[in-house]
Amino acid sequence: MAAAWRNRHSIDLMTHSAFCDANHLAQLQLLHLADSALPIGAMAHSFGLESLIAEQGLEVADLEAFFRDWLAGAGMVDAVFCMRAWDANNAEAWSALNAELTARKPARESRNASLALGRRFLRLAASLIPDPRLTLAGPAHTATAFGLVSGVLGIDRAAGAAACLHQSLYGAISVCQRLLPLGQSAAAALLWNLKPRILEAVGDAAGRELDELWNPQPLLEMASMRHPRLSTRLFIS
Amino acid sequence: MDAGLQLEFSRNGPRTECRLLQQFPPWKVVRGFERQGGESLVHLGNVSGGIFGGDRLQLRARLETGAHAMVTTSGATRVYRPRTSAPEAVLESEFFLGREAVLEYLPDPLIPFGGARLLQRTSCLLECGASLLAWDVVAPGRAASGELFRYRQIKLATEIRVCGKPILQDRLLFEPDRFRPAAPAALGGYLYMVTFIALRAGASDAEVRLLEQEMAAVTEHMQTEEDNNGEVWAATELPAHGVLVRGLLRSPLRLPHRLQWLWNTARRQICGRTAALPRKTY
Repeated sequence: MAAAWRNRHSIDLMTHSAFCDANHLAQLQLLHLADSALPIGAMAHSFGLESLIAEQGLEVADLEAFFRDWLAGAGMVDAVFCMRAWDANNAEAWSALNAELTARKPARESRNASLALGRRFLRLAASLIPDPRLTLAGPAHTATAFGLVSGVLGIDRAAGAAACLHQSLYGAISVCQRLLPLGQSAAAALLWNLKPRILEAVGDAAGRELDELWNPQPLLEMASMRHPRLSTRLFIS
Repeated sequence: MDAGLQLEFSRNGPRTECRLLQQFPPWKVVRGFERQGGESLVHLGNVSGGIFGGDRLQLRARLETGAHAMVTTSGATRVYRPRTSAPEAVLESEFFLGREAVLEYLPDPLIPFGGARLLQRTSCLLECGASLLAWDVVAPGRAASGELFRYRQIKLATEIRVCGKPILQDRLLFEPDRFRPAAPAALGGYLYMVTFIALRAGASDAEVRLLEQEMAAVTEHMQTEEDNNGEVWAATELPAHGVLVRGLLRSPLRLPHRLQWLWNTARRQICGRTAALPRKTY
């Protein structure tokens, strides 16, 4: 009886251990992909923030409300497209999804930045993960590339979208640190406080139709359109 | 109230003729007026003076190959305060532009009254060689009586497809109780929003870049004029075929001048000539 118990227990432990290994590996891979230090060039882009700060006076005191609105607008759009890309498995669907997202980014610099980072992200992932889905041709945005790679790695769809938004938010806050008197601790607190909002945005995004997505921040988009005319620039977009 | 208006424009020699296929009140179109360049000018009238809560107004216009239409309104589109139980009002406009057709869609401003809820959906489907010049102006409310951003929700969806491919999905949301209009990324204290779109299906990258440069130069002039009374303007190249210009203003006084400047700059590039703004009465 004791031998039987030992046998069953060790099998349970092994199953548990194997399960944990797979799960932990996916979590580690997700952490890696969502790391701001991923070498795709994200730190060189402000997506209009630089001109919004320079011309429209976005200040440290405005940041929490600004990012809350961003998550409900552009963030939600990215989350929906990230989740839709999760199971993209043919070139036609992939191309249509990215074309649809391209049309939702009227400002040239932000659109091109998203496409450049998405393509680099996908190229990097393809070099690390041998899967034919990562070689889908054509333009790829950051959000769709992130969703596709999450799907290939078997990372939960919503967790992938949340990590994608977290990465974007981290990047944007880092831009603010370089342009505004925003210290390390305040930046960390800002990102920390916005995490529940990320989950809210992802929760709202699940199952949302494309015609239910809206942009409440036209001036951010205009700031991106005006960015090429800014006389002194730290960022490409 | 559900109401439909269907128009068809076809080319007859140097002229474009307008046919009214369907018209239900409150829509009212008298006829197409011939303009000097041969284009057909149509005034969209609304006999109720505006849009009520729960109204669903649909406009469908089809421009056959080579047709040139100019569509304007007879006055501002007022969006009235709805009953609490009424669903949001819907204003749907769908334009189909055949090969080499030209549409100039130049409506008067949208004025949402206190409590108003509106979904404005404008779709333009272009075939190869077709051109579009269109603007859209949104007021903050009845500004003269101090009613600013008192509406509940305005959703503006503008969709452009060229040969079936999406070029623009501009989807703006204004909901003052949820998103503060004066926030630096929303409207930043400006009151009037202008969107201007100019494109020609099949324009080369160089042509689009040139158009963007011209429009950006115009917007830079507007923004840097000494007495511009607070305006911000921006122009951008769309993914292909054309440009989008957006402006925010504190006062409506210069709106007609700004719109005409943008329109004629783009018109010269796309149609090869400028023109006078359409008359409102004949």
